[in-house]
Amino acid sequence: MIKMLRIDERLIHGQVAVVWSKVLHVDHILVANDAVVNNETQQMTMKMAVPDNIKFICRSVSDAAKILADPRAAKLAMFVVVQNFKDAIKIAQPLQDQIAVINVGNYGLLPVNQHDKPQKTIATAVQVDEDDLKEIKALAKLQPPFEAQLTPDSQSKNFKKIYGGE
Amino acid sequence: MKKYLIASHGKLASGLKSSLEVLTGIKDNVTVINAYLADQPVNVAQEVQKFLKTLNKEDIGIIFTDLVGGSVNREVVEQTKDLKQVFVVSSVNLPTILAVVLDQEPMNVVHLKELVASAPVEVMSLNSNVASLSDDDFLV
Repeated sequence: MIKMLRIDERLIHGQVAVVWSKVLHVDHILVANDAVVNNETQQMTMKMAVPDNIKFICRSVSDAAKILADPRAAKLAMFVVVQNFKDAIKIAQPLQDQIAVINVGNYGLLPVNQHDKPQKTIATAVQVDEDDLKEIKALAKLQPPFEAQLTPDSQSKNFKKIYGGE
Repeated sequence: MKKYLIASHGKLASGLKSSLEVLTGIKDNVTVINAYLADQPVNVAQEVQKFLKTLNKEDIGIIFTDLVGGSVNREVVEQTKDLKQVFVVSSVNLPTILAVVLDQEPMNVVHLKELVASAPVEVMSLNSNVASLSDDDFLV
């Protein structure tokens, strides 16, 4: 079971590794990202941020999707972190009934998710352009709940309700 | 309910509170004492007393202080030594506060020691855990 699919451009960092992982009671964290999979230093520092009692791996988005489709994955309390909406769709589309919630926090504030188009802020620490919005709408039409919530005790915005309509 | 006090020399306390809020969103039930600032003098004893008065019978108070045996720490220990519902942690760092504040188990001194032990200061050494798990190792 994927307890949360998180879209976060900082991938593994304090809010994710220490705070969300604890609140969600997960025992597995999977980072699905095509760039970090080739960056050993980043993987090492991410691994160090993850508490010792949680298993951590980083894989390309397509490899991550394969791992998550494995029947063994369904029995684990899994936290999946991706960097953008596009990757989230690739992960979520085939596994809709196995995702408790899709969550976004920290998007569009770093160059990695800025694409020379005008952005607007649609939730705390979520800035998107028109292409992002199309992907957000696609995610919102999937089965799982979809929310913007930076940290467990901060305000949550129901993206499924806002962007999931026709 | 758990209520927290962070008490430090200077602005460490309010800084830790700010970091806690950035990371978790938590800002309620966290009181701070920034002691001995030249431009904002506070009466540490009175402030500790004020915090203790906010504790109801069923509340747990957890007080984080900076230096063991420092004056802030001594004041806190002095005022709380007979209070069973109050725990004092010293040499606090951000991971300690996160571990304690995010914890949901019933609080007692043994459990608190475990939480504090889970958040040590450490020297970064990148080679210590390079081995990445295989898919099969991950999926158990």
